[in-house]
Amino acid sequence: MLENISKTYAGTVAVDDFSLSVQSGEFLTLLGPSGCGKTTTLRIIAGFVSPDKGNVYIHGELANRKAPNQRNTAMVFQNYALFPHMTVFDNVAYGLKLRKMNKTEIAKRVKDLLELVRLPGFEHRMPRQLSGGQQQRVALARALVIDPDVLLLDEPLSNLDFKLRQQMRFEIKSIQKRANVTALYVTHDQGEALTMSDRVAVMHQGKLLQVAPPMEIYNFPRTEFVADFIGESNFFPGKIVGLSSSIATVQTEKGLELHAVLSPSLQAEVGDAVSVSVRPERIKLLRSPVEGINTFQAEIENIAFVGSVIKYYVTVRDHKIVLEEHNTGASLCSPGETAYIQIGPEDCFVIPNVQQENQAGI
Amino acid sequence: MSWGITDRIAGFLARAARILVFLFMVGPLFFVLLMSINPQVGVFPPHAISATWYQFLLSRSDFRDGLTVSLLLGLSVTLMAVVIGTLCAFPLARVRFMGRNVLTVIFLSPLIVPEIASAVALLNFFVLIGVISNRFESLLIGLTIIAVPYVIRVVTGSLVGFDRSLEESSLNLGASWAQTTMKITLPLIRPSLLAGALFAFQASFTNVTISIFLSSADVTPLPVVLFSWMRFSFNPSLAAISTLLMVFTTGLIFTLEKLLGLDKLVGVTSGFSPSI
Repeated sequence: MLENISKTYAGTVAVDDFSLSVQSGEFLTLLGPSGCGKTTTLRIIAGFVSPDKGNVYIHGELANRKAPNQRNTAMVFQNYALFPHMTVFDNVAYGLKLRKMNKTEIAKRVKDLLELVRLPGFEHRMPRQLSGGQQQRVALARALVIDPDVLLLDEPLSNLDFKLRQQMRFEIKSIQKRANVTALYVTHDQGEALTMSDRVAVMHQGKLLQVAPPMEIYNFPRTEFVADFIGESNFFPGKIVGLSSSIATVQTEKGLELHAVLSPSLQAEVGDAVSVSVRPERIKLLRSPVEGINTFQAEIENIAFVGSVIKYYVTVRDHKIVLEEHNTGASLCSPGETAYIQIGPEDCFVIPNVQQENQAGI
Repeated sequence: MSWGITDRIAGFLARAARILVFLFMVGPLFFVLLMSINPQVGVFPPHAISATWYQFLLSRSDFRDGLTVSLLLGLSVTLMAVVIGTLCAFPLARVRFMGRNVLTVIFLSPLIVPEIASAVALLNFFVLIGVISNRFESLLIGLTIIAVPYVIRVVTGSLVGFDRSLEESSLNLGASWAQTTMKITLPLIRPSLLAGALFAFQASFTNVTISIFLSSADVTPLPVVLFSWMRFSFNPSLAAISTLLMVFTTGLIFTLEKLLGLDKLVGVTSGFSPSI
C-alpha cells in the first residue's frame, strides 16, 4: 500500500509536498497538532479530497481518479458515523450487501467480525443503544468486514473518556494485528501514537517532518518541532564551534558549551547554527561538583512533585532547564540551592536550526 | 417579601392573559362548532344536538364533487410538490453556486407574494397560453407552485443539519451517490419529507384564492364550492363544513407534532434537527 508525493493546496496550504510509503500490514500514525494536514492527507487517500498535485497509489495502482466508492479503503470516523436507522447487523453488512454477497456468506462474515471486535450477539441492537466504546467497535467491524486494502482511522478515540481511550488503544491495535490489515491512524495524541504504531509520521503545517518507529522519533528527533511536540525537551540554540567524528561542540549565545551527538544523516559544519535538544530525564542532578564534559553548576529555581517523577527547574548561565528525576524516595533539593548537572553527550542531540528545517525523508 | 408578591401577581396576570387570548381565538371557532350541531337556525344556544347539517352536506352533489376534486388535487399536488421540492432542496442546501441566494428567494417567493397577485398572474398566463386553461392541470400547476415552497423549507432545514459523515461513510464502503441517497439520506430525512407532504396537502386542499381564479364549471375544488354557497345561500351547513375543516387541520397539526416530536424521541443519533 503506497502513497506517493501527494501535494495539496486548498486555499491555504493544507498538505505540502508530502511523500510517504506505507508497508503492507503496517500500523502507521500521522501525528501532529490540529491543522497540520493529517486529516486532509487521510481524506485524500480515502478519495474525499482531490490533491492538487501528486499521486496516490494503493496496492501499486494509481488511485487519483477513483471515486471514494471505487477505492478499497475503509474509514473509521471520529464520530463513528454509524447509520442510526439500521441495526448493528445492517451497519456491518452494509458494504457486503453492496458487493452483492449472498445472505449466508454475509451473515457469517458479520458474525466473525463482531466476534473479532468482541461484540458477539450484538446484531440486533441499534446504534443509539450502544456505548461510545461499543459504537467504536461496530464502526471498526463495519470497516474491516469488506477486507479493505487500507484501514483509515480519523482520531477515532477523541470522543471517548480517558480510561476507555487507554483500553481501546490496545483493542484497536490487537484487532488490526489479528486482521492483518494496513492501518493509517490520525491523531494529535502522542501517547496513542507512540504506544500503537509501528511507525510515526510527524506532521506540521502540512509538511512531513519525520517518519520513524516510536523509539527513534523520541530518542532522535530530527527537528526542533518534533523534539518539542513529542515528550518534553530542552533546547539550546547555538553555533557549532567544533567537530570531531560524530560529536559536535556547540556554543550557545550565553556562553554554554555542550558536546552533543551528531546524527550521521545531518551534514553539519563548523559555524552552522543549530540547536541541541536534551530530554529532561537524561539530565543528572548532582549535589556536589564532579569532573566531566557537559557538567555545569546550576541554581535550583523550582521543584514540581509529579508523583512518580520530580521535576527540577534550574538555571544554568541564564538557560532555563527542566530536568526529571525518578522518585526514589531520596531527599529533594530545595529551591535556591546550588547543584550540578551533568549530561552525557550521547543524550544531547543536534538538530538543525528552525530556518534550516526541511522535510525528512522516509 | 415584595418580590414574592410581585412575582405572583405577574404570574397570575400572565396566566390570565394567556387564557383570554386563547378564548378570543378559539371562541369564534367554538361558536361555529355549536352552530353546526344545532338543527334549528338562528336559535342560540342550541336546544338540541343533531347531525342534520352534516347529512345535508353529504346529500349535495356539488359538495361531493368538490370534495373529490379537492382530494384528487391534493394528492397530486402533494406528490409533485414533494418531488420537485426535494429535488430543489438538495442543491440549495448543499451546493454553493453563484446566485444561490437569489434562486432561494425566487423559489420561496410564493410564500411572500400576496396570493391574489399570484392568482391573477397565473390566470392570465394560462389564458395567454390557451392550451390548458380551465382544466384540472392548471389548478394542479397553480397549487403546486404554492405548495413547493413549504416542502423546500422543511427539507432544506433538515438537510442543513444533516451529518455528512454518514454519507461519506456510505460512499467509503462502496455505495454510489444514488445508493447513498436512497439508503441513507432519504430515510433519515423522512420525517421532514412527510411534514413537507402534509404542508403541501394542506396548502392545496384549503386554498381559496388561486382555486377561485383557476377553477371552472367542471373542475371546482371544495373551497370554491363553499365560497359560492356562502354568497348564494347561507345555512349552517357552512358551519358544518367549517367544523370539519377545523378538525382536519387540527388533526394535521397533531400528526406533524407527533412526526417531528416522535423523531426526537426515537433519538436519531446523527444529530440533525428537522426544523420548519
